[in-house]
Amino acid sequence: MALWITVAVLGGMLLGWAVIPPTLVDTLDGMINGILAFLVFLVGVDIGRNREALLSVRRMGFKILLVPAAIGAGSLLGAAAAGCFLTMPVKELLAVGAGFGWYSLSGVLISSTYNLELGTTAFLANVIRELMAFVLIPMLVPYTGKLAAIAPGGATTMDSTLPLITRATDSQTALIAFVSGLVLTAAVPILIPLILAM
Amino acid sequence: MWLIVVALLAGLAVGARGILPEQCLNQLDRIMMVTLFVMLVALGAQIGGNAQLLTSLGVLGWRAVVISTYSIVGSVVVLWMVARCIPVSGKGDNT
Repeated sequence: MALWITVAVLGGMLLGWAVIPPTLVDTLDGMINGILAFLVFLVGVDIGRNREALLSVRRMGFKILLVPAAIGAGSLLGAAAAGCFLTMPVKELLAVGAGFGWYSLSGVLISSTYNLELGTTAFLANVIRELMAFVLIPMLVPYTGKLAAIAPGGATTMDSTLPLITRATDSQTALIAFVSGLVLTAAVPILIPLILAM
Repeated sequence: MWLIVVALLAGLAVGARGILPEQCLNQLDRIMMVTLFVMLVALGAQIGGNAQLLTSLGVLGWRAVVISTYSIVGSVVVLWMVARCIPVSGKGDNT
């Protein structure tokens, strides 16, 4: 999956660099906005129809929501702390951090609503986050416990990193991870515009 | 910007109410995948068509590494602190 994503973006870069005339590149912006809204709508449908997750929230009580809240708050705090080393406005750091590893959405969302430079940064940062999650989750379990080990996955714990979490932890943690990823996934398209509007 | 939030809320409502026919839902993954790839190619084309951005990819990559590293550390630390307040985490530790 990560390979195909990279191929798609690199292929697109080659197209934009060598094939598509500059005037047409500008009109891509409007097109991307439309496609993005459609994709977010589909993500909403996918989340909304998942009754299993809704029921598990009800069974475990709303304390389960502390998990995505902690992952989200920690991600944003960490991103803001990165400002000690980078000369970037806090708002931009937070927007990149609020991708929670969902590179495709955060990259395109920031490119189309803010600027392409920050969008590219968000894309790269969140690709790196997902790749690091694959390595870190199994490594962290003995040190932090099973639950805290899912944190690097962010929004991806509902899909791409879920199989890994199932193997590295247990089925209960995997279910919590799924719900947490679901909540964080829903939060990305809400948080990023809010942060950028600050 | 609000278009995105509205799109998400509309999707959630449609999904929760089960308005869409079964055939549509069965194809959801595939439709999302195709949409995603079209979008990523378009994003790539925007980057590739921007000469200024291409020259600064190194700097952006470095920023990306720093932000993602700090985000991960922050999320693990906060969740680790919060985890002790969550009753279910104890029951799962049976290995």
